[in-house]
Amino acid sequence: MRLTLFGVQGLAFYVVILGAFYATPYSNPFFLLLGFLTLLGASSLFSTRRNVRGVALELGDFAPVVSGAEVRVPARVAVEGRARFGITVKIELENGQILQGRTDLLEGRANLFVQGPPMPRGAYTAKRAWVESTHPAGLFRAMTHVAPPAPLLVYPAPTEFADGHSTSQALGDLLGTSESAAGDLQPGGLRDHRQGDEVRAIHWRASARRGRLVIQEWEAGTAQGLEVVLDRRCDSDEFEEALSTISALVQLGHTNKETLRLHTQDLSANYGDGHLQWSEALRFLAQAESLPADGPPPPAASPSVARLPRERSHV
Amino acid sequence: MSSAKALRACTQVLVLINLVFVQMTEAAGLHALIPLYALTLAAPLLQRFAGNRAYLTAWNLLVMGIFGVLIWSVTRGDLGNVLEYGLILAVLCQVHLLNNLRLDQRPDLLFFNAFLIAVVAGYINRGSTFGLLFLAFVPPFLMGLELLAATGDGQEPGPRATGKLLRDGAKRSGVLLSLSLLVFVFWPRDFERKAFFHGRLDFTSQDDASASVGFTDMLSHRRRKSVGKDNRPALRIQVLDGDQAQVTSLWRGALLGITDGTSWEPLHPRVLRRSADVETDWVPIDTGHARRGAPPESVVQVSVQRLDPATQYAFVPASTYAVKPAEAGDLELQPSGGFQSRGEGSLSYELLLDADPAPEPGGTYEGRIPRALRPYIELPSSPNLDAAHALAAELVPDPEGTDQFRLVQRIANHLRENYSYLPPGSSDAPDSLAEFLGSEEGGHCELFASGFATMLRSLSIPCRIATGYRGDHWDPASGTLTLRMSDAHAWVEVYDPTAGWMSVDPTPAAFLAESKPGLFARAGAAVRSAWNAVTGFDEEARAQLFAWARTLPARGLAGVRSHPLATTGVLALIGSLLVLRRRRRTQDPLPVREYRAAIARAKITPLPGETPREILERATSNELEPVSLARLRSATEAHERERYAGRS
Repeated sequence: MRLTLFGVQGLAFYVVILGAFYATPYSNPFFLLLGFLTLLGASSLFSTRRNVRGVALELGDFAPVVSGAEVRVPARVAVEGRARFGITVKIELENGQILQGRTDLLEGRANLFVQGPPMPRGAYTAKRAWVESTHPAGLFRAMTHVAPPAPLLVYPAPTEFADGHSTSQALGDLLGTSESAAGDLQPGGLRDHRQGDEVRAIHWRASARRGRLVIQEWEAGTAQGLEVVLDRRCDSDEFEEALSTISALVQLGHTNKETLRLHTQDLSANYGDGHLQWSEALRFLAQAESLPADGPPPPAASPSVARLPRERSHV
Repeated sequence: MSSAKALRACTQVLVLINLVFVQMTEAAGLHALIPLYALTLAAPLLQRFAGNRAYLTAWNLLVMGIFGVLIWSVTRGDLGNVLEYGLILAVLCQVHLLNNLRLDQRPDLLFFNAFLIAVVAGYINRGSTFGLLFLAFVPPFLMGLELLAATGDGQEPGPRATGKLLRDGAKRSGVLLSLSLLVFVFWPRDFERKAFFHGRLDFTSQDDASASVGFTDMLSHRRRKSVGKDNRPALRIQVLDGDQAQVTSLWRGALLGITDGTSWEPLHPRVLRRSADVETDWVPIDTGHARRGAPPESVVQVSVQRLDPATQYAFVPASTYAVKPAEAGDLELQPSGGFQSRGEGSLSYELLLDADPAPEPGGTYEGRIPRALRPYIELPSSPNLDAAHALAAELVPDPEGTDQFRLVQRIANHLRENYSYLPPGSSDAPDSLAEFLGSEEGGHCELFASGFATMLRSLSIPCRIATGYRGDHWDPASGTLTLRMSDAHAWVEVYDPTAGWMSVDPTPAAFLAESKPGLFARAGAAVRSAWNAVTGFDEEARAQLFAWARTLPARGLAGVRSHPLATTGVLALIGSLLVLRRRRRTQDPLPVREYRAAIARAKITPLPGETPREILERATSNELEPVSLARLRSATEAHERERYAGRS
């Protein structure tokens, strides 16, 4: 519970009135007015606290959001009994940005969105989340804290490519490749089951033989497919452009149910059905940082695999 | 109504009430306030110009100009008007803020200013009008604060939320006012506390002889503005022995015998000694004690406590036989027959009052006045008194040979029956004796006493004006009579050749007792009485209230026993209201009730476990009539929204 700015001004005003009361001879009407003002402050303190008591907040998780788009997270507030006024839900991110959503009148339950302005690419941990109100008089701010949601991922805006193109055409737009893209998935190797693997990717026969769960990996066929090498030893502009291209590839792969294989300095991963989830790719895109020019090279890959940033591939 | 409009309406009402506050204090005349009233009422129309630079510049120039004029007035005048000038400036700022705040700007300052104006207006004028205005001020103030808090983050609540906020604000107003009254009654405090800067800061205007109703040993015809009701206790009287009913209601302090045509003052002691006043038969018994005349057959012994902090007069009724101060030497007999203490402030003394029947007045008007009484018929030749002379001649064209007392009564009755009482400071009050006697509009007791005395003197009937206190509202619980500053009164003492000095009060008695006032007049009197109870509240009043509260259970029980039917009816009504309220709170939401009603109207019996959608499908396949089906579909959708969608 704390004073608002209006509350601080009100307190200063009260002190002035109190001083005037004692500076003048006692009078009953003045005492009555002073009593009224005192009770207004005291009742505001009590009522503001009472307004947020019992308000239950359920916060959804942040969905990854593209940079440049408004951040939204769904929330549900619920209360029993009397109506509450001016209930605001706030989430503070680690960069100081505050997202908020509000319902002016809460009777029963209400769904709202906690929103914030567009943010640059990155992963933002939510430091704290709370419900607050300044009802009735705006003198005090009462807060009830809740567990903050999982971090917010803001991934780069995907590079534009024409809708409706096939995978190969889109790859041509994005990576400048001329070879046909791999449309078929070929079975790759078997590996042990890891947490997060989908049930349908389990190879049951191999699992029965081995006595443990085994995953069938799929990979693109002889054609190139969605595979890209990202060399992070580049300047920031090139790096952001490269990430935007990969973001577009993620979108393409998710839409066309393709697999994306990504190689970079400290990562080689497959994303898509039977592999890592696309959200992991977005997490990488949100958190990736460029490396200095003397950093380690990316893993070796076939010369036919597309490389990003694109300029470097022509050097 | 949108929240922005509601907030602007609240601020507009606040500013209007502020203007009425200022008008009530008479800091500015109505002619000066009319433009501000007009600008306040036109604020919604002028809002369109709020962002216009020329409009804003004009406003700023106006405010600065008036501020400059006020500063100039203060430097030339006395500090007594600084509060009033401040009020004018404050209310001007209010109108300025109302007309120039953009919708995106917060009106915080407007609220602070509004309350400050209320405080200052209440300090200057403590009449019942202020009490009523403050009651009207609180709801828009609190509603406005709630709307301001709701729009604090740039959000604008919808109409439903706005309506609920306004209702919440109204309820909160009632609760806060009730709590304030409770704190006012129960909070312990020093009712006699002096100002921190006692004696240094006095905002009473120097033009007013007295800014509040109270005892004075001077009487003026001039109308006073902004006279407040001072309900502090002035005298506390208790009967020690004898019949309370025999105690007079007139308690004399000063005797005024000389007039200049516009005011009355006490006769100079030299004049009194020379005239050998006929009331100087007081005999000192011992130091400070005095008695006069033969001992009466029946007496009433009273104790008097003077609480008026600003006078040296002791208040002694005309029927007093003996005076006994608490401390020897406390009281000094004055040549005029009154008593004064050595210093101001609290004083205690006892009186023996003559309870024998008063001698019958008699005596024929002779027109020849004994030398000792000549000072009591003197009048200056002042045009201010011409109206009094004319009226006296009209009422008593031929006084010779007439019973003097009948002449006196004729004139007194004429004043009582043809003139109304107006409280001091009334805006309609006359400004001179001539205006009072000529208009028959009415006036306060000083005008009645002065007019009466002047008319008597014009007929050479010796008389003088007595000032003091009047009252006979004995408290049955404590057996005391408390006379307050506002009970100050002026009347006339007429010398009768047979009975001596007799008190005659020409002021009409309180209109509640004399006439049959209308509903509004009675309501006004009730409001004034209630407000006087607030402004005059002190330790004694609190003790009386607690004593009364302690008798409530017994009274309640007695009331129940004497009115069993009525009590049962009232309890049944309260119980019904509580049950209905509880039922309304636990009721299903309206869409759910309407859905049930739609099913009943469609004559469908839900099967166990059947969902509303399944019911609707069944009704559709059973070819329910189209109107009922449409109604059922609409109710089903509303029910789903209520149950599953929630509100945002």
